Amino acid sequence: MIKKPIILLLLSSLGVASPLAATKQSVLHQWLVQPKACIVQKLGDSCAIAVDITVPRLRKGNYCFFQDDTLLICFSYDAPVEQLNIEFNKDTLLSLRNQEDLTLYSQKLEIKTRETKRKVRRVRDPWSLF
Amino acid sequence: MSKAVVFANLRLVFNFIVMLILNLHTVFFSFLPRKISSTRSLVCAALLFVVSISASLACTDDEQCIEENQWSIGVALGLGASTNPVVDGDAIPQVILLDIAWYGEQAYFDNGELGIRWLDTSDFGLESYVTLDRERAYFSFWDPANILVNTGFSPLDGELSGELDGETQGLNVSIDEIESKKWAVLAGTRLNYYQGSQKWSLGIETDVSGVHGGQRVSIAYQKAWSGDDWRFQIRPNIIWKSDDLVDYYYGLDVRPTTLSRIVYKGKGGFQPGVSLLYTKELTNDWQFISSASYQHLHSGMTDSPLVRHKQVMSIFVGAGYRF
Repeated sequence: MIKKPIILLLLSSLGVASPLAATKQSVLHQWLVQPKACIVQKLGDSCAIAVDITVPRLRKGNYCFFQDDTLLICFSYDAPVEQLNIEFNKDTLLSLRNQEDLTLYSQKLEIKTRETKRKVRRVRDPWSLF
Repeated sequence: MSKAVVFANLRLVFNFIVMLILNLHTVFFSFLPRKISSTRSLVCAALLFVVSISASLACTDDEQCIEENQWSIGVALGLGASTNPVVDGDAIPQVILLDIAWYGEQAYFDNGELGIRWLDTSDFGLESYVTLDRERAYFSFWDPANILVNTGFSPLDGELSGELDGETQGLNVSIDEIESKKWAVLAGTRLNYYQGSQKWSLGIETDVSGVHGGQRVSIAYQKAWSGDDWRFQIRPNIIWKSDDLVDYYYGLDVRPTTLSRIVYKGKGGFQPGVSLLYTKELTNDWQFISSASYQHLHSGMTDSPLVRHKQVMSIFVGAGYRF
């Protein structure tokens, strides 16, 4: 039972990345947008949130963030934008495009409502038959 | 139980008692002469503005539920008819049925009934409403000949020949020979008690339009069985109609000739009946609908020369589409 931590410790001291560390490292270099949803009181309400973005290593060049087809901001590959303020009142798509306007990554941002449509009991039967 | 809940329940009971008293008051006045009972309309109008309660329940039975603040519109096409008990009254065809409803937080419109829900809990429902008196439907002229063709022929001339003493027994008087009836507006309050798939209802209605000044009280029990895509329900009921209501529609005071006079005074009474409804979902939007109903008419109505049948029956089979 105690063998595994010891082996991991030895490997890390030898400069060998553990599987756990490797996983963490790979997550850090994944396209990641947080949060992915915004909660509003009711459908149609507008939502403004700051989303944190993790951008994978990019090749040399310029890149731009788009909200649906609206340009938000552009940046150089070596200074990626890590946070964006986004406002939307319905589901929207955040995308990262290169200078050839090719979408490299995208993430759907959803609107969630607190008030779901409430159902009430009818006092009469449907179809007026009674 | 918290104080707030106890207080809310006490308030509901109080309001129900107030409304019940007001409605019973109107029914009681129906037994008094018309002059004395002239305050009935005012009392019933006030009924609709009694203290408001908001106690809503989330609904789970899809068949009986409706989304709040959204119109629900359904159209059913099929074959069906309702018999007409009055002499020369045409059967009421049921080829197109509409199902139109809207429910707000308290206000609602449901198939011709405009009302306010005072209470809606898992066990009880209480609402006040206004609606048209459907009794008038028997006096509509569905046959185009009644509207477009004036033959000048009077059925009374033949049927009443020799009946100069005003005896009404065995006579038939056509609705073509009487004054047209007006639509009355009824205001009512209904208490519902729910117990699983069963429902008890007590409704009290009174005329607030001054057309006949009558009342109607109904008691109904409803039991439903349902599967994943079907529902069957049976609804025995009994309706009491007041003297004023019955007399307005079925009473007679006509003079077919200068020598004869036919007088009939309608009397109130109880009308037991039963209704059946079976629905089955065909797709998300379409459903099969079949229904049948039977209502026995009381003698205070059927003794009238205007009435030829002792019952009203209806049947409908068709398909309904919900938008």
